[in-house]
Amino acid sequence: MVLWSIIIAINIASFIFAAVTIWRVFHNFVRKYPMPESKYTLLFKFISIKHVVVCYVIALFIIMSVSFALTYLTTS
Amino acid sequence: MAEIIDNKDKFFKGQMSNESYMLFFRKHWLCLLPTILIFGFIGAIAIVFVIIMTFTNLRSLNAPFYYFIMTLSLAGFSAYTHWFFLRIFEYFFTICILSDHRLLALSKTVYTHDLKETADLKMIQDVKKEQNGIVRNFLRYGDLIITLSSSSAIMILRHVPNVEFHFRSLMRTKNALSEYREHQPIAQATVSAPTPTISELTPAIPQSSTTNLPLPPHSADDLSYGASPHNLDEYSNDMK
Repeated sequence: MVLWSIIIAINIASFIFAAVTIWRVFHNFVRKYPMPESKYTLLFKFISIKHVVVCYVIALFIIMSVSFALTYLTTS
Repeated sequence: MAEIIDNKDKFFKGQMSNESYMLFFRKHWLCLLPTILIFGFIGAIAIVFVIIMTFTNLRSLNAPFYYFIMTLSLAGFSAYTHWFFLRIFEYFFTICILSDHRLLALSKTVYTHDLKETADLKMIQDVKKEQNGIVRNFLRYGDLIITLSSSSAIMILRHVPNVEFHFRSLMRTKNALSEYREHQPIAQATVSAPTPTISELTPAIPQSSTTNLPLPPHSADDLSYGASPHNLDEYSNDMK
């Protein structure tokens, strides 16, 4: 039970941090600097900041799923 | 009839009403490559670790030490993932903007740093391009060292992609601004004859000439100091 609590707490903290980060990204950059992006300014000519945000959320979901799965396999 | 163009905060916060955006650039992707490779390597180790754990009889490892290691690994990898994405966001936040009046260098992180440097184009005395080394010449990136006339201060823009193009763009914009300012008093001195407006002097730029460029549609202010359609075509050819 303690292990589950710790794992859940870590994941909640992780998602709160990510939410604040993404809010700051959109509030402090995307809204303030609506620059006309082109293939010359994107990362590797195709990755925009919105793609990075999507990858960030997906990565956190993967980490959450794996941690819950390992905890379940260990404690069940 | 003179065109009234309000560019205030159009492309970036702090853009002035009479300021026309020219271009912007980020650092070259190579400066982010080590971060991505290391994250990929550690991610691969984590995947192998998870696969091994899945095929192991986890119930037999029901020990406090195993719980401790698992919790620590999870917390560590989560923190590292956050740090990695913060680095990527920092790459996107660190930009350099060239307008017809000034050069802005922004260096921001999501939480800790927020640095803005600006150099008035008329205060720029000298621009030096440094592109030393095989990798830099092969990938066409380098440093721009800008000396300001007001003091001995210099502004260094590191890892500028396509440095030759950005060097030329900066010099052309600076020269065009100088020429415009030189011709300005002559136009004002001719009191008897009405001063022709910008739109009367220059033809409008067809939108098609700028659609494929990294430059936005230019305002009448740009036309006033010589950013003619011919010059814009030059910009597009330079980028190739």
